[in-house]
This record gives sequence, C-alpha cells and structure tokens, in this order.
Amino acid sequence: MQLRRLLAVGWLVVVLLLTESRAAALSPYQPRCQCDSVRILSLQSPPLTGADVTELQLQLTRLGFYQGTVDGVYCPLVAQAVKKMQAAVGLPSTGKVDEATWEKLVSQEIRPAGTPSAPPKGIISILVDIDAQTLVVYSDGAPYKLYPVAIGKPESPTPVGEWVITEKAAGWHGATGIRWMRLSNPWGSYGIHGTNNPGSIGQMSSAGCVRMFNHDVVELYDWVREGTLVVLKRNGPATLLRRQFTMGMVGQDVVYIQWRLRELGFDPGRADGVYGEDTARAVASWQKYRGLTATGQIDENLLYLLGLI
Amino acid sequence: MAGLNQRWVPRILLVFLIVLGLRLWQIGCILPSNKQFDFSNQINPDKKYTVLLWDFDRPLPAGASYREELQREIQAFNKSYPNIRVELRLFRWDQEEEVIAAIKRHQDLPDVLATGPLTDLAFADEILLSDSYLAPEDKREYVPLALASIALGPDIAVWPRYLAPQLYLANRDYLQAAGLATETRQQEGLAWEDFLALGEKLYQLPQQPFVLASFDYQGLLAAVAPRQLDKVGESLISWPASVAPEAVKRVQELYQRGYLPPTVCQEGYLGLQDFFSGRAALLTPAEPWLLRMVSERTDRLQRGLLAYEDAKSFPVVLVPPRLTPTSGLPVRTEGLVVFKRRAADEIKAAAMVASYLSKSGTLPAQLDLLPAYRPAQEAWSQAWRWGNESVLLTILEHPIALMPYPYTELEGKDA
Repeated sequence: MQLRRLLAVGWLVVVLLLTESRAAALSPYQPRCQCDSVRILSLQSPPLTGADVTELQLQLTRLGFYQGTVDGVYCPLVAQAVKKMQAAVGLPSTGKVDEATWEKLVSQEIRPAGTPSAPPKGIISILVDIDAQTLVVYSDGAPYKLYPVAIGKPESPTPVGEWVITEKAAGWHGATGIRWMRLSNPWGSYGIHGTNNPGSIGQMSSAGCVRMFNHDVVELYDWVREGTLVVLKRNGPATLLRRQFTMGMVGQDVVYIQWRLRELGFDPGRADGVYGEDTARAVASWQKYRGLTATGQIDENLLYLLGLI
Repeated sequence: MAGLNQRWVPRILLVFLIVLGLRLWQIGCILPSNKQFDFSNQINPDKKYTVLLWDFDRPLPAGASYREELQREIQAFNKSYPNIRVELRLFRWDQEEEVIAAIKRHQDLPDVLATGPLTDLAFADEILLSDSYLAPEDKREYVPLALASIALGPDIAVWPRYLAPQLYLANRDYLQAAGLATETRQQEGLAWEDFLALGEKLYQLPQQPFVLASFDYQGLLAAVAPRQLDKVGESLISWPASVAPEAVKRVQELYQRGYLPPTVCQEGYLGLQDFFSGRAALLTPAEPWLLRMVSERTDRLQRGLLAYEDAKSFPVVLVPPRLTPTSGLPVRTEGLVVFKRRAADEIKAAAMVASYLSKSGTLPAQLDLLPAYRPAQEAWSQAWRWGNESVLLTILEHPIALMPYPYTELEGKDA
C-alpha cells in the first residue's frame, strides 16, 4: 500500500515537473536551457553586443523611444532610450534591461509616445517625415509633439505633398484602428489612422497611409479639424513619369514641380499635386521673368532646367 | 470806380508778379537742367531728408525676401547717413507698364527709381543725368559695359546697378573633340567662322552633334547675327534691323550643312534638350541665371535628388561671342534713376542713395545678375558661386554693348 502511495506521489511529481518545463518552454523569454539564459543588458565598457541588443533596439524603435542605428551595440543612446521606456511604463529608470523590462518591452500595452499632452493652443499643422517615420504636430509653426508612425511599403509609397484633412471618423474600423482622418490627396484614398497591428509602427508596412498607435491617434484626432494642413515629405529623387505638364494634370510629379517652383521664388500655392491655375501662373511667371515664352506649360527642356530630370 | 481800379491794378499786378516769380524759382529748383544743377551743394547734416525709392520686387530663391535684402542695404547706408530716411515702395516685377504710365502722368513720382526690368526711359527730361554727378574717378570704377549700355544720347542717364551678359554655354567635350582649346575660345570668343569650322569638325564625329541649340528660333538668329555699330554714335550701339536678313541667311547655311537640329524650323522649337542631351555643342543665350539652374541641377544630382539613370552629365564652359571694336555683347543692364523734382540738396540726397545702392555686391548675386561696380565684384564672387565668375567678370570689361535688349526687331522665320 505504502509502495502504491509512493509510486503515485512519484508519478505526480514527474507529471508536475514535466508540466512546468512545458510551461517554461512556452513563455517567450524564458531560457530554453541554462546556456540560453537571458542576460541583463546595461551600458558597459566595452559595450555589450549581440542579437539580444539588436532585438532590444528593434523593440525600442518600434515603440518610438529609439531613433538610432539598429547595429546590435548597447551604446549610450540605447541606454537613454531604455531609461525613457522604463520611466514611461512605471519601472525604475535604471537603464538595465532585466526580465521585467523585457516583459514590458514585448507587451503592447505600454504607452510609447509619452504621457498625454494638453491640446496645443496655436494653429495646428502636421509634418510627416517619411524617412524618419515620425509625425510632428506643430503649434503656430513650433514643434509641439512627436509620434512614431508607420508609412507605406516600397510598392505602395506614402504620397508626399501638402494635403489637408478632409474627413474625420471615430470608431473601430479594423485595419485603420480607432480613428481615421482622410487626406486631400486627389489620386487615392490616403489618411492618418490607427491600427490593429501596433507592432508595425516604425516600419514601412502600410498601403500608403500614415499609421499610428491607437492611443496616439485618439489624442491627435481631438486636436485637428477638417482643413488642418498635413505636409508629407521625404528625401530622395523625384520620380517623374511624364515629360509634359499642362493645366488639369494631377499626380505625384506635379508636387515635385510645385516644390521646385517655390524654391526658385515662384509660389504655386499649396503643393497639392494638381497642375491648376496657380501652378500654371507660377510657371508662366518664371518663364517671363527669365525671358522665355510664358506658356504656363512645362516640357522636357524646362524639367531639365528645374533639375527634375 | 475808376479811382479804385487805378489804385488796385498796380497792387494786383505786383502780387501777380511776386507769385509768378516764386513759381519760377520753385520750378527752377524742382527741374533744374543738368547743366544748371549745382553739384557742389552739400546736404545739410542737421536736416532730415526723406528719399522715396521705388523698386521692383523680385523672386529670390529659397524663400529669401528681396524687400528684406534691400532694407538691409538701406540700413547699411543709414549708418553713414542717418539723416537720410529712405522710404521704400516695391512694385511687382511685372508692373513695369503701370509704373511707367504713372510716372508719365505725373500721378506720383519717386526720388529714385530702380529700373529693374524697365527699358523705356520715356521721362528722360525729368531725370538727373548721372554723368554729370559721377566724379571721373568714381565713374572709372563702373565696368565699361554698364556705362555704355545705359545712355541717353551722349550722356549716362542712370546709376548702373546690375548686368546680365549673354554668352554661349559650351559642351567642353565637344570643343575638345573638335580641336578647339577651351581657354583660347574663352579669351577670343566665337565668331561666325568658328561656327562653320566647329560644325565641320563635329560632323566628322561618330555621333555628329549639332553646332548650336537655343531656347527658340529667335535665339538662334541672335546667336549667329553679325553685330555691328550703329551709325548714331559710339555710345549708342544697337543691332540694326537691317542685319536680320543676314542672320536668317546664316541660320539657313548652318541648317543646309546639317549643323543644326532638323526640328529647328518647326513651330515651338525648344533647343534646350538638344544641348543638355548632348546633341548640340553650344547653347545660347546663356545668362547667369541659366548657369545657376545648371549648377543647381548638378547639385541635386549629387545629393541624390535626381534619378541618375535618366540624367546626362558633361562638363560645360562659358564662351563669349567674338568681341571686336565693331561688334558688341548683348547685355541687359539695370540702373537707378534720380528724378529732379525737389530742391537741390534733396536731389543730392537722392543721388547719394542711388550711388550707394548701385555699388551693391551681394544682392546681384542672389538675383543672378552681375555687379556694375567693380569693387563689389569680390563680394559678388563669394556670394554667387554658380559658375565661372572670372569669365563673366572679364567679359564685362569689354567697352561695347549692344542695345536694345531683348531682340525684338528680327523677322523672317523662314529658314
């Protein structure tokens, strides 16, 4: 009898041990074995390097705390970002990445863009830097708050230009998250919105829209109104698929022409991608000022002079 | 009644004569002839002067403000002359006709007018000839082209300010391939015979580039036209309409030899592409602004703002037309006009403002123009940085200019 009891207890212990080891294996950041233990990351000299630092940088970038290079080196910039993140989620701001910090890092519950801000008092405008993947709110022309965003994939790039918000909608809409603000872009349906995939923020992952964390887009939504100016910019070559431009044409290449005209001192109005009267007038004005025939139209030769081809 | 008339008539006559005398004296002050004007009058340092300056607002690149730049120059002037207040009024640069009409109607007159794009000095009787104001040593500091091209009869009418000469932009590779030394051509310029020789050599190259491209057909005519002195006088040099047939004949000759693009006679021909795509060796007219555009384009290419696969790049150089004692250079000149509408010391204050502004160095660089005042050239060179400034500045030393500008008298688009 005692032997049976002993066997039962032993069996139970074995089952318990097996169950615990399986649970441990399912936990995302538990070591699979002793040699695969999670080390504590901190600022050291020489700096720590490795795949875990790369992962840390990726997570910090995703959450908007880190804008540096993802190179697997635990540099002072990374330590600073870790401290910011820890402060934001209520952890001691040590700069050391321990288990508790990892848990918070991989959790999507934390607020990455700082605490909620009071609404700006000035006139609001928005600048989306596509290269930096950030959205900056300006109040009376001065930067007020910065948010991390996701922008378009290479095959569906975010359209650059000077748009205004034409429509606002609240409520859950799946992939566009909890808020939606349509931009005035004339050749597609693009907007600033939330997401059902917070992990995509900080990446080129959208179909061309500007994607934000839901709690960020909720805050922004209340600040802006229809007509708010939204400038989307990026560095890099202008892509011009056409060589002749006349009144009524619409497209991304028109935006580049409008920006270039403004650089030269001839104002085509808002760079809205529409070759309208203002743009034609600016072109004619430039031609006349330089002694050329003022047609108001742009051909390949003028594109060359504008430095666009 | 008769006694009353006898008593009052002389008195009324006396008052009339006094009023008439005062009026004549006033007119004498307002519109003194240039010969009568006493330039030894000095402005009174204790008196406050206000000089009304009219200028034309210009588009400046990168969002810079012409008004602010000009105000900066005025502030610098006021450091030396704090008692001369300059009241600035800017018109749009394309308001030339309205401004001239207003001045002709005497609706409103400035003390100093920046000619900007003005070419019609129809109000010449009312302006102070700078010739009689400029001291000989001061006059020598202005480049000859500037002095020669703003003239009224034998006199210089305005204070020269900016210039824009027309040159050829040349593909250096083609010049070298044709055996033409760039430096020599830059010094000696290009004459009609050079076009023929260049065409012959380029025709033997595998790609057979054309000799010349221009913005349009008029530009082509201007490029090959014989430039000669008009018979009016040495200081009034123009391109007589009688040379137009010769220009057409020359273009025809180049065309028949195959030295010009086949599309050159078509309506709306624009030859920029011919040059920039490497199909032509020369582009004309090349003013400083064109050099800025070409340089900016190169800069955009280097900064990755231009898709390289579509871009062609080759070295370019500036070459002047062949300048001889009987052939001048087309040059657009801007100046400052001083009106004789006030007392002598006030006119002098206005002349001092005009004189100061005509010596600007950095502002013309932003406008893609060249300074007329030689000592300002160093500051201009530092601020301009868009091309070979030494060629541009050297060319200004040529004593003869062509007027008028632009060419409007050419006819015969039938080559």
